[in-house]
Amino acid sequence: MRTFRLAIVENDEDERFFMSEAFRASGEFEILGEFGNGDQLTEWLHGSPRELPELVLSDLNMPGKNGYDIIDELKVTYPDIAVFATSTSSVATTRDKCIRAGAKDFIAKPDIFIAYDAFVAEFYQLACRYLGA
Amino acid sequence: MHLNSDLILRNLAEGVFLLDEAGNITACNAAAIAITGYDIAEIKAKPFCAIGDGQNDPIQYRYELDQTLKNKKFVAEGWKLRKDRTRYWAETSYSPIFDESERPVGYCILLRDITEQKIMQFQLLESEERYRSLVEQVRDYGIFMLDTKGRIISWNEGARRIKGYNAEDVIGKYFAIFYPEEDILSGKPAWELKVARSTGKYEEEGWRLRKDGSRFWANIVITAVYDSEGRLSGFSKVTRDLTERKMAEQALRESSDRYRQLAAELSVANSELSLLNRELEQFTAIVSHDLKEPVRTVRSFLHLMDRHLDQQKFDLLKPDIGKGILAARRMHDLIDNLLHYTQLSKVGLQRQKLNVEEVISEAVQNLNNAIEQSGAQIHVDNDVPFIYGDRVQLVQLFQNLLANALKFTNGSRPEVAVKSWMENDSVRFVVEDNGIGISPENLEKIFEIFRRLHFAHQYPGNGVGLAVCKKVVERHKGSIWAESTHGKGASFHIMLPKI
Repeated sequence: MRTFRLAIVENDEDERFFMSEAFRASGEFEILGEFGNGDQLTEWLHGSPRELPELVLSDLNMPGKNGYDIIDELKVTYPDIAVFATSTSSVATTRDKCIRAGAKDFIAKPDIFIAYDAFVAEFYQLACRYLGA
Repeated sequence: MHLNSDLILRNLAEGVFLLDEAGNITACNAAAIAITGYDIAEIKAKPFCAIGDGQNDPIQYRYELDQTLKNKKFVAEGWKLRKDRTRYWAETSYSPIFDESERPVGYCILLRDITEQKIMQFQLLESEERYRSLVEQVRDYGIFMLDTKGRIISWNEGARRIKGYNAEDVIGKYFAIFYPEEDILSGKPAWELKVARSTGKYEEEGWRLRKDGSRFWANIVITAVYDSEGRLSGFSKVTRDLTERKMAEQALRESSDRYRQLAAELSVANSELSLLNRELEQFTAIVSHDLKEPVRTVRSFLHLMDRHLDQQKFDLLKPDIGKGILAARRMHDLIDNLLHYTQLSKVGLQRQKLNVEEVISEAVQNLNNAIEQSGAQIHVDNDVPFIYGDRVQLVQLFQNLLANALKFTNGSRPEVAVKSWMENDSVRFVVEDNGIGISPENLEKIFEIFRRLHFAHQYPGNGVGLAVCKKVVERHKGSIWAESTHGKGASFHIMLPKI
């Protein structure tokens, strides 16, 4: 079973904590970095990390560079990295907007952030579909 | 050449008859035979009246001869018949012949066939008559003649119908009686004749008066009329009543004006509606995301507390509760701010004349605590005494801009300048600071609601302040933008219409 190299961008610390816990617990992801916004992510990417992530999972609403900014920027600077957007909002327009902007896909956050297990499973399915198992 | 009377008679184009004392033909020339078709043997010794007019009225003939003797001449004309019974128009001229002792001895009659000439004359008369009766009977056009001075000398049925005057009312009157008073005062009728005289024609459409004083919209053409020697003999004037057309045009124009206005109103209503619609969409997005987020956080911590209780990790309960409370407060603030923001577009704008100095100092007053705490210096350089707008909203505008200037510093003492001046028909305000500045890609984003560039622990805030500023300025039909040079602070520019 393959694992994916992942970077997580989420401004809420508690949310990010439970999110990354669930990803680690699954054993299907290797988390290369956790960031509070797009500025921190791009700063890290530009600092030539040892390994680049295959996937970026990014929240949409964040202070500074938000999820949409990340989609826009990585599309140009790191076209090989697949960006997945996530948000508490699950309205269709948000999803469309992300995919139109260049995100691989959009996944709604779970109702409460201590229940990320199903989210991680779904995300793994999507990652396999887009990047190959 | 020797003139011989026989020779002359033979060659004359006119028929010549010589009559004895009783009026009977004694001789005639060749032309007489050619005109009448009789030869001399047939008419000799017959009275002249017997050869041609078919009436052969001796009493009339005697009368003619008596007149000839009495007046030395008698002239007549009329139809006569040739021998072959065809008609010709004869002009006859009788002369008496006297002998040496002045005694009448006979008559000489000159006969001319002027049929062709006469027929032409008849045709001309007929055509003139036809033409005159045509003009007289035209009902849709008023056609009449003016003399050189502008007095009416003819009148037709159309003129009577259009203007309401009978011929006897107007013949001999100056044609200005058809003009409204203002035209008469400005000398328009005389001027029209002058134009017609110098250019041959004057044409226009305008209001004219009927006999009863009512107005009608007339199309008129005045044409100068010249006699055969090229002298001005008068003017013809043709008038058409176009009142109905004029009214129809006016009605059309009015209705098209009305529709245009309606369309303009609809377009305004439409753009207002689509603006409201966009705001509604934005509101939906905000509710679905920004407001949902803290609720979800509170819920998450409640579930976490439940889990920690089950796991008997009582020491973790306190931080869970603290974070839950924080999220609940954030939600409360968000709702407050959102209501405040949406309220801006709902409440009517209280437009009044405002003292700019007072508006700015009220905003500064409201920030007194923050100014004291930061030790900020605020310079106001105001060149605009008054502005028209909503007091509460404009105070809010400056208060938000000043609050940002005080907040986004890199630790050094804030220096803020507020300037204003007139620029064409607008007032420009600038709020300038020495803070951290704004990177170019964010200069527009900062005005979006809930858009934040920094984490709350760096610079607290809710992402509403500048959105409120933008909304206030837009409600005042102005514009707002930010300028910044990296590391040299930021300036916010506002253009508001003066009125």
